[in-house]
Formats: sequence, structure tokens, C-alpha cells
Amino acid sequence: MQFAETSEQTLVAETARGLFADFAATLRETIAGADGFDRAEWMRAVGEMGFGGIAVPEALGGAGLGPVELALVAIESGTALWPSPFVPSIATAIPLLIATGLTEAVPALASGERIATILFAGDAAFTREGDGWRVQVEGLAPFGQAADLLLVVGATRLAVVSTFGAEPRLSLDLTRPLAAVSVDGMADAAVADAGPAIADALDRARVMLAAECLGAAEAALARTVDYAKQRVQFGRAIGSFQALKHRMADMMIATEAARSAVLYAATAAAEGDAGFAEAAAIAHFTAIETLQHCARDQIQLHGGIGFTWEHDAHLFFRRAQGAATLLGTPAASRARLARLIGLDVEAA
Amino acid sequence: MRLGFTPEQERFRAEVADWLETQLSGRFKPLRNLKSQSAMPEERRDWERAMAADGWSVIGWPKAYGGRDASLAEQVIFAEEYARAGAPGRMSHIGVELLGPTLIAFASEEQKARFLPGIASGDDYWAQGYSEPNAGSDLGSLRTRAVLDGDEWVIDGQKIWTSLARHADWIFVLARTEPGSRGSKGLSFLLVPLKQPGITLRPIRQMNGEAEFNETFFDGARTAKENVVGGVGNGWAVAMGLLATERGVSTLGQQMGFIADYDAIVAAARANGAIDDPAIRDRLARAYAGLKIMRATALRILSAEQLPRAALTQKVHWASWYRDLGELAMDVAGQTGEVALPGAETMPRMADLFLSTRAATIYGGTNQIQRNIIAERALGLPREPKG
Repeated sequence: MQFAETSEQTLVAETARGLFADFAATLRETIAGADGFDRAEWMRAVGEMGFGGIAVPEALGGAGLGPVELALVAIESGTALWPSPFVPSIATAIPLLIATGLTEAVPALASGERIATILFAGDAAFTREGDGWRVQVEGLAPFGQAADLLLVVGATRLAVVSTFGAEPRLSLDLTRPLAAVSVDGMADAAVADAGPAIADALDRARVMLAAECLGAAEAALARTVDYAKQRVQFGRAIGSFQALKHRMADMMIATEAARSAVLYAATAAAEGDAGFAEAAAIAHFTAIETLQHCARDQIQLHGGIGFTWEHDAHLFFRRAQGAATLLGTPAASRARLARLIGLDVEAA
Repeated sequence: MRLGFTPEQERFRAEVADWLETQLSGRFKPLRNLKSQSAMPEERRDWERAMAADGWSVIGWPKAYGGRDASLAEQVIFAEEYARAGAPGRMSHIGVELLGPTLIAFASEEQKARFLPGIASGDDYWAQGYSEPNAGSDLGSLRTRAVLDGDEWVIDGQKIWTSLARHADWIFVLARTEPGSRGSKGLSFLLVPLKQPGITLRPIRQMNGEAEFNETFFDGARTAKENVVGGVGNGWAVAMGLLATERGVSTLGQQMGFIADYDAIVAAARANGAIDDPAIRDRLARAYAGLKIMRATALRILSAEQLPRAALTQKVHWASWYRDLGELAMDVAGQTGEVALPGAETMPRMADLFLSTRAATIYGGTNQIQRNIIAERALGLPREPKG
């Protein structure tokens, strides 16, 4: 038992931090671009730096490291609000494909050459047709218009689709925009009766989303603290007023709790710990709520500039809401946790 | 990062669990799951001696002072098993967890030789003399003074919130030894025999009816000249060093104890049907998550080479969680939980939790002072102007 990063893990985090800080300088231009992200950045981070394959087994073209390293990268990408399909393609699609054995596309996703997005559907969206599966569904998928592959995710069924419609929509979350996607055709590949594998992969994805939210929450706090130190009113830095200090202290209490939850869940995933599903649910709802809290208070504590378009505070606020629906809501994770720990009525 | 334990550590766990089970199902059965911190003092003394006899009293201390040099993992295992077994709150807590590590860090070899064995053996019990009626959060304004008279310090003043003082043999006192000094300067950390004519105790009854704390009056109390730790005038540094050890393994052990409270609430919710309410289930799930997060935070802090910033957030986090748990307990219990059983002289457990948890966000530094500390020391925000 040693719950601290190894020096190799710290190096991964520091490398990621430097890279995403470079990207952050052009955040506004990037999100105004055609697909809402920058393909050169994407290839640099996912391909050249190898962050796409960090948790992918070597046999599938990855680095063979694990969820802890991937989480450390996700934290740093969140710090920079990096606009990219990292969560859907790298953190969600790859574990889903590995868990269900549909690994053909994994190397190309891990290298960044291809991009996948995800769409949740009921199992009724999948019907058997000949040897294959027909998929009929419509919905919203992050970066859908830029994706080469769409993973349609049911409770027990999963399909990989390469022919689908995708129409970008003006989205609340400007750093992870949604597209309206529609499918009516045969899946390239599909599995059925894969409920536990899908659930486990989604838990892994939720931990990475949580890591990204943690990074964003820590950044929101850091920016707020910097501002409170330099903004002077009544002849004093506003950060010396207890009314503000205590709110920032509360933000830090929340981010440290979220950091514990995220690192614990990532480590549990790495070790195949029996408590992983619990840990994932806890990390997911805790980190999202922490980002919601920090993003709200970032706006409030910045005063007037905090609710302008020009200031980045709204990008965090928007991201927090987008994160809260991307892989299920925080409340759904808490309900899942309640079932896992035997609080449901049937167990009583 | 690693969560798992080695086979050797698992063997240690089995050894600890086995020892606890044997003791707590045998001779010490009455102490099992005892919630009160002050009940059955004689039995608790025996318990401490039994732990010491088998080498379990101060496992984290160096071997030279009676400990086992236990690794972090072993200390975590011990804390977990201790709580899981329902072993009683430790009457030796202040000596074992607070004063002992402070002496190891700051005291002279003579002082260590004199005081550590009594703590390790479960013979000497300690109380803490920091706060005063007019020096709570603002500890630096304390007024208890000590003056050298030949070979002895003579102490006059008053301390408050001295927990378990009625069962203690010694008290460590932060006193002003430099007349006219102010704030954190001119203070010394003195070790004072508690049972002497110059010291009077008066219990303070808390809102839950128990009297865990005391007022301690010093009226010409005496202690030997050499019983000053860390040098005359250096008491503040020693006192702050002691407070830092409060964030160590002892916090983990305390949090493990919270698991029993949580389990009791879940059991109550099942028994009276409160668990059928989705809002209650949601709050229980949140409480459970809080337990897991507090444990992970404690492990992070203990695993770090240097005390991380996260350590400063721990107190508000657990205290607020515990206070909320008290509210949840009463919401689960409902009106039936507002009355004692016929003839009972104490309130039922849920009501007691509801009342006793209000102190958590106050003792050991209020949530408000903790937030100042987080803001100033961890976030580097400017200090509050002081009058």
C-alpha cells in the first residue's frame, strides 16, 4: 500500500501539463474552428506524445501503462479545458471496444488516426438481421461530425457504425460540442449480452471524465485565487476578505476530496480491485459536483468580469454542465452506488 | 500508486484481527462497541495495559521507545482492524498519538527516557492544556503563566477543554514564561503532574449530557525545572509540531470509527423503513462516499513524503461530514428516535449522534479558523488584517 504517484507517473503528469498549457494559449481560436478542436493538437497529444495509447495494451499498439497514467493525463487536459474528443474516443470508445472484444479499430483510435464518438441507446435500437445487427437510433454525440466511428452503446449491446449522419449543433458546452447523429443501417461489428463488460468499460470512462473534471475544477480555483490576490477594492486585495477566502477554502476542500476519489478509483481500476465499480461511481459524482461548485464560484468571485463572454469562467461553467450528462448524471452514479452497497429496497 | 497489501501485510492483518478478537470476546467483552469516551475508566486502563503487554500500544513509535517501527501499511491495517473489531476509544490517545510523537521530535534524551515508557506501557495518561477561556482560536493570546522558583516552575492560570483530564496523570501546558511577552513569543511547553494540590478540575457537561472535557485551574501548581520541552521560550514551535501530528494515522483511526456510526444509521434505516425513502438512500450513499473519500485522503497524506496541502483540508472535511451524518441519523430515526427507552437515562444512539456531532466543527480548530488556515497557508491568500 503506497498511495502516492511514482516518479514515472509524476513525469507523465508534468509532460502532459506542459503540452496542454501550450494548447491553452489558443483555446478561443481552437473552439471557433470548424470542428471545435484542432487536429494538429490532437495528433500531437494522442499520436506523437502517445497519450492515446497510454492505457492500451502493447499488443494493440499501446504503451501498456494503465488507468492511473491515463487519469493523470486527463487531469491535465481538464486543467487546460482542452477541447478535443479525448474523453469519447480515447477514454470511452477504447475501453468499450477492448471490453467487448471488438478491438479491430483500437490501434487506429489509440494513434489518433481515427476518432470515435459514442451514443447511448436502448437495447431496442439493435435488431438482428441476417448475420449482423441493424441499428436505428438518433441522439447527441460529442464531436459527432468529426468522428469516423460511432459506438452505439446499449445496456447489453454495443455496435460499431461507420456510416451515420452527424450535424453539429450550437452547444452549451463550447469546449465539447454535441452533434445530432442518426443511424439507420447495418453495424460494422456488434456484440450482444455484453452488459457487465459494457458497464465496466463505462465505469473506466467515468473515472477519466472525473479526472478531467478534477483538473478543470483545480484550474477554476487557481484562476480565482490569482484574481483575488491582484484585484484591489477598499484599498485591499479582495482575497484578504474572509467572505471570499472561505469560499475559496471550500473550493479547495472539494478539489482535494475529488482528487482523492479520482486517484483512488484509477488505482482500483489498475489493480482490478473488487471495489472498483463503487470507487468509479464515487469519483464520477464527486468530481462533477466539484467542478460545478468551482465553476459557479469562479464566476461569483470574479465579480463583473466573471459573467462576461470575454472571460473564460463561462467555459468552465458550460463544461461542468456538459460533463454532468456526458456519461450519465451524478445522481445516476449515486443511485448506482446505493445499489452496489446494498441500500436498495430489495436488499433491505 | 498501490492500494493492495502484500501477503506479509495480510498476515499482519490476521495477527492483529486475531489478537483483537480474542481479547474483545474474552476478558474485555464489556468494552466492545463502547461509544462513550468516558465510561468504564478502570476497564479501559486494563485494556491499555493489555495492549502494551502484547506490543500493540504504540506500534508506530521507534523500537527504541517501545514501539514496533510499524510501516505505514501496518499502521493503516491496525487502525482498520481496531475499528472493525469495535475496540474502545483509547484513553491513552493524547499520550500515544499527540505527546509521544512530539517528545520524539522535540524532547531531550533524558525527557524521552523519563516519559515515553510510561505512555507505551499504558501506565501514564496525559491531558492537553492549550485552550483558555479567552484563548481559543486565538491561542497566542493565552495568559497562563509559569515562573521559575528555584528548581521548579510555578504555574498560575486556567485551561479549558482538557479532555479526559480526570483520568490523566500528567498534563502538557502551553504557558507564558516570559513576563510581558505577547502572541506566540515567550511561551514554553511544560510537562506538569496533574494530581497535585495546585490543580483543580471542574467537568464541563456537553450538550449531549456527557462530560468528556474539563476546566483545569492552576493555582501555584508546580513542576520540575527540567520539564520544559524544546527549550524555554520555544513552546509555540513545539505546540504547532504537536498539532501537525494530529493529522497523522490517528485521524485515520478516528475515521475508521465513523464507519460504525454509518453502519448503525443504515441498520436503523432498515429497521424503521426509512430506507424506503429515495432521499434518505441518496443521503446514505453520499455519506458512504464521504467515508471512502476521507480514507483515500488519509492514505494520500500518509503516503506523501512531505505533508501535502491536502492535509490542511482534512479537518473541515471530516468535521462537516460528521456533523451532516448527525443530521442524517435523526432524520432516519424520526420522532420515535426523540425519546429514550422507558426508564433509560441516556438518549438512543441516533439522538446522541445528532447532539454530539455539533462539536466536531468546533473542537480542534473551528471550521472558520480552518478555512482561514487553508486560504492563507495552502492558497497563499493575503492575511486578514488583525486588530
